[in-house]
Amino acid sequence: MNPVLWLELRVRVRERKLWIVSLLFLLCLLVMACVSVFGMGRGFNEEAPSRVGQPLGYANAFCLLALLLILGPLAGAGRIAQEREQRTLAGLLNTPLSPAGIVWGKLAATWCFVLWLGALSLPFFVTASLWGGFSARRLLGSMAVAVIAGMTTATLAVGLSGFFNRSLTSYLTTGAVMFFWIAAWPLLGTFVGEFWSPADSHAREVFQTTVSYVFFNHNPATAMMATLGLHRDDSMGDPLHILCYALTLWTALGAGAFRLAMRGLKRGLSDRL
Amino acid sequence: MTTAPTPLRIEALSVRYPNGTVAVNRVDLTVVPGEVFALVGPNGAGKTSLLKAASGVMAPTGGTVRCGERVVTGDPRVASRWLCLMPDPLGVYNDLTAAEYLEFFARALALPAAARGAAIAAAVARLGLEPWLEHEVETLSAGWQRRLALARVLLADAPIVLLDEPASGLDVAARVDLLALVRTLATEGRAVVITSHILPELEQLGDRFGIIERGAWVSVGEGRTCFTRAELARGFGRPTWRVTCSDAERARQILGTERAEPLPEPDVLLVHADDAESAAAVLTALVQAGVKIYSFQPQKTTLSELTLRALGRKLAAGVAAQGETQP
Repeated sequence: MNPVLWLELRVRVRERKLWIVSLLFLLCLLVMACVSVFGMGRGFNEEAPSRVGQPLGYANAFCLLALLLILGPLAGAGRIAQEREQRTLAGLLNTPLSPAGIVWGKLAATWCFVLWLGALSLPFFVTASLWGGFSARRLLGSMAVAVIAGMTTATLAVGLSGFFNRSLTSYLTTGAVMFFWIAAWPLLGTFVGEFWSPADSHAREVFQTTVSYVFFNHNPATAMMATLGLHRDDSMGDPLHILCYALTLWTALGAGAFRLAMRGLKRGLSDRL
Repeated sequence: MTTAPTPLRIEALSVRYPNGTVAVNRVDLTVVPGEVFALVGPNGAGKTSLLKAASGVMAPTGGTVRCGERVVTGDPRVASRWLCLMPDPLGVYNDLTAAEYLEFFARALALPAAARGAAIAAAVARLGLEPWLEHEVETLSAGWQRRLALARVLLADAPIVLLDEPASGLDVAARVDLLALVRTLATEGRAVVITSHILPELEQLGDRFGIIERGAWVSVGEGRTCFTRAELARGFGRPTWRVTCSDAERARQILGTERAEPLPEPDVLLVHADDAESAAAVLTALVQAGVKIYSFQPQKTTLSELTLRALGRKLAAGVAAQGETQP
């Protein structure tokens, strides 16, 4: 077992905040489930359980995605910066562990956390599935998209943390990057789509598809919509294409973040007086 | 020690920080197996940067580091096969017990699973860490944290050991134990480089010394930068005698201010004389002038005095005393 992963798991499992976060995570899912089942005054109908199963499934999927997009980066941000901050990096580097091994250990621990949260959400998805909301394929698909998106954002956070000496800076930068990617960039895409559109119908279609791929289709929310068959219109592209595109881009982002973290480690302590 | 004794060779090593500060400026150093090299210098002189660059955890901007014949410059992973650094300040992981800390480093140092327990037990026994194994590292006193870091050094079992301020924060008894341990490490065939501000103890421990300031060696006289303990005792420059007499002021007037140097202690003088004959002549002159001589002996140079002199600073009693007692 990777020593860094061993260390991270050992320490994190003992931290009280892991269990508090897990509890709050479950509470959020429970509240969302209650709102989706009872919130619209429909209540549970024994005759047609799928009436609540479907909204419950959607609520679960998007709530899980939102939570993992917040908690994944929070778990990853500062992982390497913290080593610098608590002055443990010199000791860690002075071992046969390679920078890749160190980053991999940090990353795997973060992924374990995301997977743990994904596993916690399983009963909610199963309930939605049992009530006819989701097919098994959709259930697994939506969970996988949420978990992979969480792992990708966590990887980005770990990558960025290799670049900073202070974990607070790392957290803030990660937050800014996530906000830009998840919220600001699609918003910009909306403005671009609304205010600048070619007159020719073919050109408009090409333009809209391009805008979709540049601004929206790599967004985890779009990938989730594509998985659940909720994507906006055909101009966004085929759901399978959207998913493949998103997963490819996320993989590339993750690989880039991994390299960034390694570069950060190799930079060593050169800027620390 | 499982690895063969290996010398450390540093050639023209330089470290320049991104802000332009030159922390280490073309430093050469060779430390052979069995030798304790003591690195002395004021705060910010470049000692820590030198050790970090030598271990590869900090990328040097120039120069070469060799462990034996193998070039390990800027590659801490390769360097860790021969070289173990105990850094200062000593970082500790929160929420980790001392036992887990050692287990983690035993794993990180790639000790085989079967040998891990025995190696940890041996290090723990050697440093008396048994009562603290279940305590969280961050709750240990600075002294016990140092010992824990030393346990990591023992686990690494490297032929070259770099100790950056290992005595910092240790009480007297712990410092004595530390000195004995470092001496043992050298006796076992390791090349040891140590930095400390506790110069009297460093003087006892070091086989060879070097004074560094602004990232470069400081000349101690006779064109020398590094010197042995014997050379330190002999002193550099003109031989000096320490004279305790009935009237130091009068003796100084007789001998001249260039030849006699007052010390803060009352009735004590330092007298410069080129050889034993000249010293005898000085002694005769003083006795004939009616000055009572209580003692007359060759002055041994201490590391503190030599360091202050080499750094061009006044040897004031207060400064010297601070050097003697600084924790």
